[in-house]
Amino acid sequence: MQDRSIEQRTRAAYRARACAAGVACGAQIFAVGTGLTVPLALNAAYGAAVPALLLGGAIGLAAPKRLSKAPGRAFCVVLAVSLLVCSALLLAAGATLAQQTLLPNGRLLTSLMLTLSFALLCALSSGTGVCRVAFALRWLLPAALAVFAGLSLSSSSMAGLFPLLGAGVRSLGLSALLSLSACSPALMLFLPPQELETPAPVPKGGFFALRVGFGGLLGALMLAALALCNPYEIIQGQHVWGARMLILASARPREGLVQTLLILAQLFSMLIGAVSTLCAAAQALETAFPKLRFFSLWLCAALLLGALMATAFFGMDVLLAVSPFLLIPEGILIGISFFKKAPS
Amino acid sequence: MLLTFLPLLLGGCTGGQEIESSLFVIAMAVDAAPEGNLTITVKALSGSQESAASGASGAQSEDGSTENLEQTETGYIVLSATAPSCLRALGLLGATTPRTVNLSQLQEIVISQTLAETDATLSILKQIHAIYRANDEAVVVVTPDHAGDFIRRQRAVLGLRLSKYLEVLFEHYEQLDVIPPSPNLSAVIAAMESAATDAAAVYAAGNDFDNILLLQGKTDIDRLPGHLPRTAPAPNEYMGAALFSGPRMTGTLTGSEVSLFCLMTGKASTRVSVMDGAQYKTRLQTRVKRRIDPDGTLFVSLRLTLTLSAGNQQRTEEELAAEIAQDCVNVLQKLQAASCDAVGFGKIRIRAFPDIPAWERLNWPAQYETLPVRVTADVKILQ
Repeated sequence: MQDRSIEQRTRAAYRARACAAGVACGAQIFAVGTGLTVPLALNAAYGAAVPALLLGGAIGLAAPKRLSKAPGRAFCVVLAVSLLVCSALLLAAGATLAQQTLLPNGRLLTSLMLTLSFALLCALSSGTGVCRVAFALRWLLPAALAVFAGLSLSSSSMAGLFPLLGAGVRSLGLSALLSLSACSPALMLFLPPQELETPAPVPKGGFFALRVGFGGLLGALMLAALALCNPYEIIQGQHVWGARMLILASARPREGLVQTLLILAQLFSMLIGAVSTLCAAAQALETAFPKLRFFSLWLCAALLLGALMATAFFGMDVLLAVSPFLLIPEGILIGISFFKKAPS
Repeated sequence: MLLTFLPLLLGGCTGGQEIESSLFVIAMAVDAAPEGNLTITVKALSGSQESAASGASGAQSEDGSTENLEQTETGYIVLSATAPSCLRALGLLGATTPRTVNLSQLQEIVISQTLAETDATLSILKQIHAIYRANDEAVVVVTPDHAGDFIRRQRAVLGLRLSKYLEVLFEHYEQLDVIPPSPNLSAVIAAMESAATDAAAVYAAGNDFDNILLLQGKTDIDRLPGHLPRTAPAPNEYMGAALFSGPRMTGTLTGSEVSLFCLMTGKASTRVSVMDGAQYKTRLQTRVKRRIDPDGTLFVSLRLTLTLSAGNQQRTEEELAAEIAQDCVNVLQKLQAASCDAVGFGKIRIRAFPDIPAWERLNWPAQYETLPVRVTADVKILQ
């Protein structure tokens, strides 16, 4: 009876973490899509997210293999850095969206600091809480995003999908390459949930891949909703990252309440993603350097603060330019997880 | 839990504005002024300070721009400013009043035809929309008159609320199908920016009461505005459409032409047509089919139900169908002559192209003008 209860709790812990990873992947695909690929591929940016989805699935499949091995210090450091970059990107995306929509009179730096403080407050009590929130909202959040985005479209939205290849095959290919690393937040699955103190049985790869894939798919669908909102000429004219995240058919008067709820749901996804990746980064750092046990989160927060200050000073392009390079650690970590044998 | 509830507090973080400190603009007019300047005239709800300033008073600012304040009716004031750009004129308007110019309640933007026929229209509308966060639902109107005078003449015929009067007015005309289906600010800007479709705004004019009423069209609404009966209480008449090709106005449609246009876009609501002295209520039976044939013909297929509401039926269903189809062809040809693809054939054509460079090489606006048109109508008459 007790064994069964432990097994259920273990599975629940993995499920919650997989849900958080799914939300984070969806949010990152949307953030990277609006930041990097929409200006390049225009209305076909959602198509450029498909390879990233596949890579996210590969991370999900690699997770059980990785979890059955003890991670090395170098592995954990690379993981922590990757997850920190993801967290910074998601926080910056949330801050710029909030600044463009809910806080139009506020300064970007204020918005960035607010989101960082918010993320830190949520992360203080370990990453378990945010994973459980992601699990509790596993149906509500996608449903809210889908319904509010659907209500923001107009009857003539289908025209926005065409031409199907957007700015052309070359732009689409380049966009796909740039957004290939967008599922990096799924790397958090390479660490066991924080609440599991003793080694526990790990679910199969499909368990993780399905959740990551579903979360990422939602991010790609939100990019498709963006394409449905505006003809490519209007997308070309949008130069601000936060403004590009606004899902609202240009030919349709904005419904204030629907728009606010949609933006809150988008912000929520980004914050869940940012907090869960921040907690996972702190966990990875703690695993690499056990002596940092009580300071890992604060160290991560300090690094995030530096990254966000640099973003506020140099512009959002700095973080966006870094994001494609996440593919390098991502590839290394997946490779190690798949092919390196577990120590006997 | 913290994560769940904290975002709800974000609403309290937006820049709050006291109602008393805002100058709520109901109608805005844009006219061309000498030396490349623009004159912006706004009709706004009067506050205690402005309403004290009755009569006109002018002032000259340092940069040569001028501003003006007058009270034309109870509860409303009219302000105008002339400056080299729309934004500077609006800024100047803000400086003439202790309140902040607020366009969130804007009901109509009237542009003079002289200005609408230039490329400046789109940039003016975009500035008003994006920078001043104007109400997306504000109706874009083009007038052959002086736009400032047009909104000065505007009165709430019943009651005192001009905003409600305008709201009801546009709803009523939309139901009658004598104004184009999507004349609101956001839709007009989107259509002007798109290469696959064009915009159609409302056409309106003031009535000249000294002229003898002269209706030359087949029906009462087959005319451009400016011909209300001499006893009409409203000095301004809204009827017909101003057609745009890209950002530039290139033509007009009369009231009855607009109702056929609404029919072809599938957005007709209660069209009433008079044929051979008999009055029919027209209703679309099924969705309007629009396509571009392989030979390039722009094709529209209508299935209509006509309900005889007055008079006697003189002709057969086939004869009436042929007349409606021919009228639709005439409207399409008029749209082509104005190089205005407001029906949206471009949205159909774009589907055949794999990417944007290939679509842009086609030069759709130039091709659209030369393509043949065909309309078929299937009419069923209910007595």
